Amino acid sequence: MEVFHGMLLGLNTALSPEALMFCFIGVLVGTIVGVLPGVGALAAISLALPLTYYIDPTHALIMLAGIFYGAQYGGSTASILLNLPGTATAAITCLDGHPMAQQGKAPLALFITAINSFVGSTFAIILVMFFAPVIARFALNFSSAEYFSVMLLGLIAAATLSLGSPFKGLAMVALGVGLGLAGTDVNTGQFRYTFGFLPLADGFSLVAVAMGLFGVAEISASIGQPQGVVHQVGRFRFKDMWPGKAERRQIWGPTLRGSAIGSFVGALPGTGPGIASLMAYATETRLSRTPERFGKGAIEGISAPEAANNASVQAAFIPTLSLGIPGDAVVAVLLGAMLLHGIQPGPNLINDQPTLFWGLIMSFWIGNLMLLVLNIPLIGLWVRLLTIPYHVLYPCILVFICLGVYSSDNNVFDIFIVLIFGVVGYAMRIGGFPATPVLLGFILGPLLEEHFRRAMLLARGDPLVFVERPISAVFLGISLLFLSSVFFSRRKPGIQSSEP
Amino acid sequence: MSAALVRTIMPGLCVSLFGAFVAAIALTYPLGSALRPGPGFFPLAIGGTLVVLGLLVIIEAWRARPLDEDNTTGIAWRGMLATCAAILVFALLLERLGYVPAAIALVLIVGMGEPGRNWRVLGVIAIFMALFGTVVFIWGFGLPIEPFEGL
Repeated sequence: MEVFHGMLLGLNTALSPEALMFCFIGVLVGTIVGVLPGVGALAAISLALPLTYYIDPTHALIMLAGIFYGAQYGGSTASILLNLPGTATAAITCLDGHPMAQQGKAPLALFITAINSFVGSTFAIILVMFFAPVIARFALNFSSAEYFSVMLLGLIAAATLSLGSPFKGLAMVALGVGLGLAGTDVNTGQFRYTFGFLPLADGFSLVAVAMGLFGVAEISASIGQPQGVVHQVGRFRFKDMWPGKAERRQIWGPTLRGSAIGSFVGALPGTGPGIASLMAYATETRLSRTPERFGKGAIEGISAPEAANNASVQAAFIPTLSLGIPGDAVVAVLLGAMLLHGIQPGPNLINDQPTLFWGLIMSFWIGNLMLLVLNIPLIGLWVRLLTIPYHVLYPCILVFICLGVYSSDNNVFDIFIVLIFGVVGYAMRIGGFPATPVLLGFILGPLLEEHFRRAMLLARGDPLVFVERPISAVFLGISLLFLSSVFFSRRKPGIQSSEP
Repeated sequence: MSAALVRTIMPGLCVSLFGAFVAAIALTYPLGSALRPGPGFFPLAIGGTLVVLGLLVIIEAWRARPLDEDNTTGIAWRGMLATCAAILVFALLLERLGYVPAAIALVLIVGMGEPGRNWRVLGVIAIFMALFGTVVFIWGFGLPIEPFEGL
């Protein structure tokens, strides 16, 4: 009954004309940045963040979240037609989506990815509605020791579950935590790592760090690179999009399995849609009686990962809204947005701000319905967007980055910070270091330190507090498990993923 | 050999050196006690962790020798330098000459990163972004900068 009551409350918020407008803007921008390769949801959200300072926090979050899940819909378009993922999470969709396009089945592939995105999201939103309040109630008894341990778990999971070297992942989490140290120490007022720069007293600006590591680094790497050729599809007719009877029978299993895997992976702190779609794809190849068809245009090869990445994106809101611990880097920026708007994410959020929580959840339904309309009848429009050459696009993006960063604090200093982190981000790419864990560490670092110090203070300096409290001990135990798996398992070489 | 050696060791070494830097500065802040950890305690721990992780990255890379040549990406100097120069010039011009000159300079400089650049297209982009930014960001969102400073 509580859920039903919440839904009504949420609909009240989400159906207001303003909320509908911001939701629409969010999913529209999300679709555009999702379709265009080289501009991710993270860059778009970071850029939109300063612009939301002046609007109602609920509407701001509705819009920013819309960009996030909207991008997942658009990402598959470039994968299928260009063999180049629009977002890194749609990389798996290239494997079978592009062969389908080459066989003349692009309309069908695009239709299925849109429908499956919707099914995956729906599946996960239901889970968010039922589980987030339950987990939040459970987490109400958390003290600082538990918070410290669960954040540590989130950071370690993000580092060790990411693709590529786990040591590099861990190093980047630590680097992010280190960057988060800069600024004024909240307990003593001591300036740390500010090197005499007054603007650094508040620490590095989140927007500047994110834009540098993701936006500028991406542009530096892509300038002058050859661009793919868009696979021509001609006109989109509904007849070509609609799956036949045999295809319908082929996709429902993968779709449901993909949704379930995506929801589970997404709900874990520290893991995002990239891993979800990879796992869903791997599961399908293993379950299939005809695994040799995968990679050559198997319809299951697009339906499972597309359901999974959208499910994981929505499920990522479970730990974010109930514990205040983001599932991946993009949600971490959303969490940063909440903090900037003066909203303290955590177990109290659902009780203290029910209109925000339920309004946001109900806006997910509305946004996903809008996306279905945007992505099926209007698909031709997005395909045309793909024909914009990159060399026209990136100077514009760079101007947006510089302006957006400046507007976050009206300070030229932040543009220099973007420059520095752009170089750092590019160097990290060359060295094979993932950028996502840096951002997670950067956002969670200050909270981690705060809870560590508070827990120590409350326990009168006894570090055993972290293992004496059972819930905290469990989280630490799981973290240790993750860490030991790094040392005792032989990694499978192979799939390398780029950043979102 | 030495170039390969540098490629193997460099990434981890950078991490370790940065960790050592963080730790060294942390020592200048009060460490506090276990009961009341001071502002230097946590940074010291993070710095130490970074040093260790950097060493682990080096060990891992050392074991994975010889380097797979396909996996090592070259540095796209031209693109990177053009991007950096463009941002730098934008930052320097923004409050001195105003947004319009800064945006035009940014677009033209970043365009030099492309080998076969088309100045006409770049000019159109530069003018478009100058107008778009002025209308949307300065007039629309009210950024406290001028299209042209001192006019």
